[in-house]
Amino acid sequence: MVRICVIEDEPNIIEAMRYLFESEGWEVVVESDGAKAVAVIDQMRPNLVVLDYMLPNQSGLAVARELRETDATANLPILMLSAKGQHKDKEQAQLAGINLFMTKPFTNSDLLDNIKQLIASNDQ
Amino acid sequence: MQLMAGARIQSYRKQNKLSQAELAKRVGISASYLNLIEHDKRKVAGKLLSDIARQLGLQPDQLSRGITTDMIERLQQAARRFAPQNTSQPAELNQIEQFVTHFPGWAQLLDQQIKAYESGEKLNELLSDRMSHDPVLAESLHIMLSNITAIRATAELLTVQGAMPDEQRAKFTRNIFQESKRLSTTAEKLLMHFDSKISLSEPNNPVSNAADATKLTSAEEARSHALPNVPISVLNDHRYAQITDTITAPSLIATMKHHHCDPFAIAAHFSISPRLTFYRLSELEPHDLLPTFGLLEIDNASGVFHRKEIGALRLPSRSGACPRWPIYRALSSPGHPVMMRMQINSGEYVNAFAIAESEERRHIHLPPLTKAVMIYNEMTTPRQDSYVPSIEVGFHCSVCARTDCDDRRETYALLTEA
Repeated sequence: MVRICVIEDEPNIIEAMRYLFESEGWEVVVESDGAKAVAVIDQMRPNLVVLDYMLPNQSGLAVARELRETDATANLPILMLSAKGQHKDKEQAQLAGINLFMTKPFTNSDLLDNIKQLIASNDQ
Repeated sequence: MQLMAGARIQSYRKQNKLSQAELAKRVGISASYLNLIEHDKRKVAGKLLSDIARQLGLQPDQLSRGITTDMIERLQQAARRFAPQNTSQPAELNQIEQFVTHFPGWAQLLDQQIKAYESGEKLNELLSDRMSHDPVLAESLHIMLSNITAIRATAELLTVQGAMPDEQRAKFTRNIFQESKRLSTTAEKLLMHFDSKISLSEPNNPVSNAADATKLTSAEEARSHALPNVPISVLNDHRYAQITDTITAPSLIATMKHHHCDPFAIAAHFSISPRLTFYRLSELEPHDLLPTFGLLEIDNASGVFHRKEIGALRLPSRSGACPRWPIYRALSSPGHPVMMRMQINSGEYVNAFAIAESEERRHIHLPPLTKAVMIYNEMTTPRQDSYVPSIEVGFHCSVCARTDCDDRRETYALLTEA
């Protein structure tokens, strides 16, 4: 079963994503606190992380950097969601090791397609 | 400012039935020099132009008809800038002087249009700068995009997804209502913010004025353009010129082995004032072995003198920021270095160093003005030094959601009811 870890702090976005992902038959774990994200991911060992840019206590970028510095999660696919869509934000995300940057708002179908592609390319 | 007046001088001279030799003698120049002037091979301005005009019974501007070398340069620059690529008929730059001489009215009209365009460009730049540094706008857009994302994702589930339990459908409907309420509240607050605060006639501060190159002398302009990260007042400080040779990337790399990234220690090492050291550090070209520094300088009248923004920490372009920032602590005790590790709202850590200096007292009844300067760099991994205080900060109370902050001086403008 595909396991997705959603690091996001907006409750209604979380609920929509949880329903969407569970409808695909995926297992979903959610964490809203940036500072706890790495521990949750480490424990869950997901196939992919959906990571918000702006999080309380620790930013999505800092979470990504930390994941990339750990052997177990160095190659874990990370899809970043952000309302900040400026070029410099995307550049910073790329430097932090983000695989794909999606600007909010997005369509559910685009989100699903991107997640499936990232997981498939990581499995190869 | 020199004038292109040759053809008109010749025309008026002939109307006055004066020979070149006669007119030249009256104004104290040789006939051959006047001949060069009449054929626009020599420029004429100032006293000589006034003398010629007087001999011809005219005002100087009647000879120039508003045509100046500044205007010609402006037209030439515009012709180069706006020249369409691969055109078969480029502007005849080598005939610009004939153009303005024979068609001064058209030339002035064109010049006015160029000036209006350039002025519009500057205004656009200024407004873009204000918009991009407006914390309420940035935060509002972020909240609104989050609301829209929640609404869109949920609405798409309700519309596209197949069978859904009634309870879940009702929950999603409530979520959409809740998010749309938040969206409209944020939009209303944003509108109120613009109604009350945004005004083009608002007095500019020195930072905004820095964009207005017309207020600079040519020498200052040239130096300012050469080093855009440093204000003219610093460039004009002779001590600063000396340290640009002293504090270089290689000398800093060597120094940092002993002093890490502490700008106060670096200032002491080079025996240079912290303020000038901060400016020097902030303008160094990016280097793999050196941190990149941002800088903010303010005074105790809430003016922002200079700012160089890096990373996630946004700096104010006008008025104050979060009262917890070390620059405000420094302002309250001039001469005392302040060092702090700031955790900003987005979770990033920033090392900040600040110090304030008071100017000399100019009058017994006037306390001196104090300026404070802060330099900062982002930390990828927070250090655990116990001697550096760490504090959570925001950008401005109006956009800071830290409800438990004891230093709050105004309410969170974007607070929405759940």
